[in-house]
Amino acid sequence: MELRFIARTFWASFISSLKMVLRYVTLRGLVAFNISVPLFFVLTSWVIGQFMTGGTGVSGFFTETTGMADYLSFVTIGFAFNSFIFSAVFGGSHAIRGEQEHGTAELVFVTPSNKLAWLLGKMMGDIIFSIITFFILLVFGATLFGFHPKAPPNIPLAIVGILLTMIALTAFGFVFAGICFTAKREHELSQVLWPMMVLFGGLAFPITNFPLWWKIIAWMIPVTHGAEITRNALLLGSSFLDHDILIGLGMLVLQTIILLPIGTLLYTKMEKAAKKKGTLATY
Amino acid sequence: MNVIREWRTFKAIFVRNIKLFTAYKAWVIATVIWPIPLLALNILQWGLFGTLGEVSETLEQSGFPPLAGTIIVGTIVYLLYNRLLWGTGVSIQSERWMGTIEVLFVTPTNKMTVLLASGVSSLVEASWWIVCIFGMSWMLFGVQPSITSWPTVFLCLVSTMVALLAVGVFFGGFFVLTRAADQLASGLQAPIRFFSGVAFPVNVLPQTLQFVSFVIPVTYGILTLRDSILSGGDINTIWLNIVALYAMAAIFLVLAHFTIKAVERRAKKNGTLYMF
Repeated sequence: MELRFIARTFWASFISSLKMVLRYVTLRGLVAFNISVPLFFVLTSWVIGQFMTGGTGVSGFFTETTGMADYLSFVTIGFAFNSFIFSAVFGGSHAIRGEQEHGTAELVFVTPSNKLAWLLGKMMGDIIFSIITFFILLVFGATLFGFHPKAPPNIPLAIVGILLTMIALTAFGFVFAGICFTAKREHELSQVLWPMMVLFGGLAFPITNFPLWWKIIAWMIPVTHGAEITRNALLLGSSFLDHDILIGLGMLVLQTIILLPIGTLLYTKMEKAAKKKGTLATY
Repeated sequence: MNVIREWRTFKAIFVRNIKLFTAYKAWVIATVIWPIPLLALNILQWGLFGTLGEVSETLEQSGFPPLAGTIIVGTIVYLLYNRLLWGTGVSIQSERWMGTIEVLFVTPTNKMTVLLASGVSSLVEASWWIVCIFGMSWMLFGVQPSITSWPTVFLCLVSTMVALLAVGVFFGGFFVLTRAADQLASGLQAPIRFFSGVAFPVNVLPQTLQFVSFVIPVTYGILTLRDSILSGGDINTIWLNIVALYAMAAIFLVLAHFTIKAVERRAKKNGTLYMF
């Protein structure tokens, strides 16, 4: 297939997705959904922290475990990653489910366009929005609780970490989108998957002292490495050459290399299976 | 009001929803798995400040029940609210997405009955997995219940369900006014989780924030159940919260009645029922 056509499919799908996002996500919607979910999780940590530290906000246990001084900056960055999970992992499946519910899935999938380009375009609209949300959340966090880095933040490293995480999560998104062809009920499945990613990825608490099996699962999830790199870059001022950072970046690259072809293949197979069964449009 | 006609409407919606629920195997399995990571997340959020044993000890020293029990009861009530918000609150909006809302609104059925039936089917759906969560969390996190009166526990559960059902029915009418029901429903989850004290005892919140907590029915549901299951409370200690639950249920049902009437009139007049 000509690259020109693939690019046109991607672009059309991306613009349509972006328009949908902008059409429905008003300022109220943005605050209500994208900001409020992670923000209230951070506030929960704040309330717990106030109770556990007797109002001082200083936790010896936390500093000992992470080497960081401020648990609120830690959780703010962690929960800000939530927006990437929702856009990169669930954006594609949400788009498919939307087409199924609106009765347009068959029309989309019988056109001779490249479906991966279509899916990627749909996901990109959400991803762009999630990047904006991520930064808004950091600003919110800094304004409400203050940011207390131990060293000057390494912003380029944080950006590289975030970008690599999103690419690796996109591969997850392809697999999830494929599953939704047959399993349907995308929303309910995403309700199962996101707390799992938050839980195992250590977005809400450090997993340093957790058992090995937990850490193995955590290692397989891109957000674990993404959040760790971003936290180290912004709160500890780590450099690209730090041992832990190199391992984290390497893991993200490795996950992208492994997951992207697997995700693409699974998505294509499941799309074909749905076409064969005639269940593309059923929901 | 024709009772037989209302009953037929109720039964039709109820049976349809139960069939829809059981038709999706992935969803049936997901309902059991879904709460576990959420529950673990609520508990482990305390892990920022010490081991879970240390945290639980600190809570008990301050006069609260042990950590795991506190969170499990809170999470169960929250999940029940969540199910009713999505199952009932978004039910009419779903008709819009599926292109059947106009058909529904031109039929001479009582829309309150439709919403109540959706609520009851969501409760039935939720009941079996609440039992599963309770059993699993008992095994995973180890909870020591301190129940002195089973009828009180039952009363608390039923009262909480009635209040949350009323909330779901209210949102069902309210959501039709907007085209972003899923955003609103999702947006309502996080503040409710925070203010109702799902992940911590509500008394831990600063005093000013507790004023918000006590206008939310979920808070009373959590308080009564924590009291009756974990602190050995009986009817004498929880009756005030039970009264609050029924008062809120009445208020929300009356509000729902007027909202749905207003929505119906406005949507038909403006011709915007089908738009999404």
